[in-house]
Amino acid sequence: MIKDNDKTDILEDANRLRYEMGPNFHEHVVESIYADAAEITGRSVLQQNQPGKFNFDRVIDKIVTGKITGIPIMFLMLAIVFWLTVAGANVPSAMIASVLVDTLHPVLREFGQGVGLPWWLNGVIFDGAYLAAAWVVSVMLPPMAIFFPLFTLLEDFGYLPRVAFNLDGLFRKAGAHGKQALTMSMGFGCNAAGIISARIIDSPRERLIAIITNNFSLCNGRWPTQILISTIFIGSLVPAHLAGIVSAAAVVGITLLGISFMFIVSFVLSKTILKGEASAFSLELPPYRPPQILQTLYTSLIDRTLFVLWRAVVFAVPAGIVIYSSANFHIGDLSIAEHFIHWANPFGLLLGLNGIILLAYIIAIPANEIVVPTILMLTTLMVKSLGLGSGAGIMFELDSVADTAMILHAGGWTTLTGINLMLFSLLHNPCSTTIYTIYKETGSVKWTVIATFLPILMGFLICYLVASLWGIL
Amino acid sequence: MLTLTADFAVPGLIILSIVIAGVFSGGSSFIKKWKRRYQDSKRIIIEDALKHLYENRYPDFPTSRTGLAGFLSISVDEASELISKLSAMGLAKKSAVKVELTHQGELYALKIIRFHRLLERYVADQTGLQETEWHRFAESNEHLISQDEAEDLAVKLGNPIFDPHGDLIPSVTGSLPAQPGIPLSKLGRKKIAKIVHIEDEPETVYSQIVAMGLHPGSEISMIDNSDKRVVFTSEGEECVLSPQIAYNITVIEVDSFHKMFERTRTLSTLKIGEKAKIKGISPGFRGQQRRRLLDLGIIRGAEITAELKSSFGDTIAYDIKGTKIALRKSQTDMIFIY
Repeated sequence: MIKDNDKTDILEDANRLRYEMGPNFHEHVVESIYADAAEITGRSVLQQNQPGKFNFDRVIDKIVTGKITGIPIMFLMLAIVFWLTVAGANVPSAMIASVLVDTLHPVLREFGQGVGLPWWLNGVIFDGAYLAAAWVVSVMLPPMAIFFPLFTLLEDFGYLPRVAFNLDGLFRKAGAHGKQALTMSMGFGCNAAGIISARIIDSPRERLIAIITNNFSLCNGRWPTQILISTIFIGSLVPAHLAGIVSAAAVVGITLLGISFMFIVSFVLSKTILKGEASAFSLELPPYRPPQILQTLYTSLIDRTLFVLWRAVVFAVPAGIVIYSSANFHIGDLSIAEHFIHWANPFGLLLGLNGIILLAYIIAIPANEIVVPTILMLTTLMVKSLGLGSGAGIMFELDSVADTAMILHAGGWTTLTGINLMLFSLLHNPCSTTIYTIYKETGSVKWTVIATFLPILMGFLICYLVASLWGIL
Repeated sequence: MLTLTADFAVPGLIILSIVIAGVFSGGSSFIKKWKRRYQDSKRIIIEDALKHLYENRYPDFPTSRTGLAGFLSISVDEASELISKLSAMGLAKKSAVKVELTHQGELYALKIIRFHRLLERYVADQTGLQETEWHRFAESNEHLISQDEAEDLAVKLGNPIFDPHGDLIPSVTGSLPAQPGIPLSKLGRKKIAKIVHIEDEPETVYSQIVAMGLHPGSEISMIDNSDKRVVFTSEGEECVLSPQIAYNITVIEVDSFHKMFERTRTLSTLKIGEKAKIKGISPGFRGQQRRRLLDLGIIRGAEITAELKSSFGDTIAYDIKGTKIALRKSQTDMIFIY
């Protein structure tokens, strides 16, 4: 049994000895252990020489990280991935929508009426909750099921780490990690997935920067909005034969603007609330290897696609109920949505938007995909003269761009509304799935709040400035 | 419509900028800290006074009321009031010419110094904060941390006994052995010595020393030492300091250079395609940063080849044991090769 006095003496002795050994003793021990381990490995592990494979790697590396070739190859690769995603997703999306929305939705509604549900309950369940969930599945599933496997294949092959390597200089200047190039690109598919992928950045400060700025990557849910609005409002400003190119250029412009914001905000964060240097930078460039296609498909479908989709559906159900209720339940003569829109309209117009857009962004928080259907629903609700009564109070989308343009113009939209909607679609709060993912990944309310409100405040500011300039010009 | 809504513009923008500022300064936790800081302002003054009295406890610099007032930027009257308060609390005793700490006051001061140095160790090891920011961080947080939080932190850091400047951290019981070594300005010509401590105050002097790449653990060789200037080499670079600044660096004489510093070349000088062997990592890299490099195989004796240069900037990929690892110049400047 040690007496208390003795214990103190022993501790004091131990401390004195530690003082005498000096500050770097621990590091010396660690280094010796590493050196011994390396020496033992060198003696006992045989390494097969594979000169052929080594040279093959070196040739590819010279090309993909070359001064002239590196950057064009990167843009080409990304362009191919996006083109395959956008072009390839249309058909399966339409198929899923025709089953879940066009066929099953009326059946379910009639079934609800058949068993004698009151109109409001029937509406809330099938026109609200079911429809929102069905919509999210049909517009989210196909692009993600194409984008994620393609992305994972590039990662598996070993190309993506080279992209991070190539761009590291730029990210270093913004106080971030080169691997943020990957989380940013992943964000083009889905911000929630991009934020999860920030786990590859091992230093906490750089990881937080990557998480907070991921929302500046236009995600799959926002591409269709950008393309639609750009076609209607930007393409129409120029002669017909230029419309396609000009509206595509506008979308690319918004994307590049997003990337610039990502760099600027990363820089500002690393100079203010996330002050510091890259704490422990390291980036491994793995050897090139043939991708394991089946395993890639499996992991990207289960880990990324279904995981994200499930979170989106969970949030879509309550939001569907809110969307339906706001449009169909009345206080006095007007629906809840109309009350809000009248109240918010002055503020919306000040930002070069309108009350409908603000309400749509609030109630369509579960997924950016349902923002346009919600806007169309609310616009037909407000502009009764359109004669599209069947659509009022239920989310819908039109096959024809011209019809959509007609509804939006009837809703009082101008070119300014179009431009500012594109800007606001880039700069607004992340969807609820992403917000929840940020909370899960950071475990901090503070960072979640910052990541949520920073982009929306920037959106308000930029839209306000554009609207004011527009007024002056 | 714009004329009608212009009334919203000015107040709207003001509110917006306030909110943005709020978000950037860290939101709610900032307000909480600020409130706590306000409530604790009395405690801060007492603790700063104790620290000052402790640092000037030797008889050649007795602390006077005016000295204390100057240090804390308060009036002389406030200083006398503070001293009376300290004596009433049993932390200090005053005589006609000087103020001294009681044993109890000394223990309290050592506790704050312990907190300060633990916090510095923490920011140095676990965050990416720059060296010149460490002291300020510790200075403002040492009054906010509780005893339990400090001891939890100590356990988490592996009960460190040195702060990142090479200062000894007082033990829980308040014991603090004397710092060994002599000021660099007193080191004789042609002598070889190891830096054991760099004084982190005043900040301007400290950042000048840091900018020269001097760290506790660096070995130096004195070339010329006069009362005008102190000239020496460290890690292969020649450094010139004024004696006043050199006084802030404490060294211990050693017989010969540690192998690592004999003739030094850094990894950043290796050209693409060239091969070398690792000699070691500069003492400027500590904790997490150092361990990370060791994990990657940057170990004494390991062969390393510069393979690829990034299209942008100074990141270079090296071949280490058949694996390609990209490192930044800020890192390769701190790795020695031969």
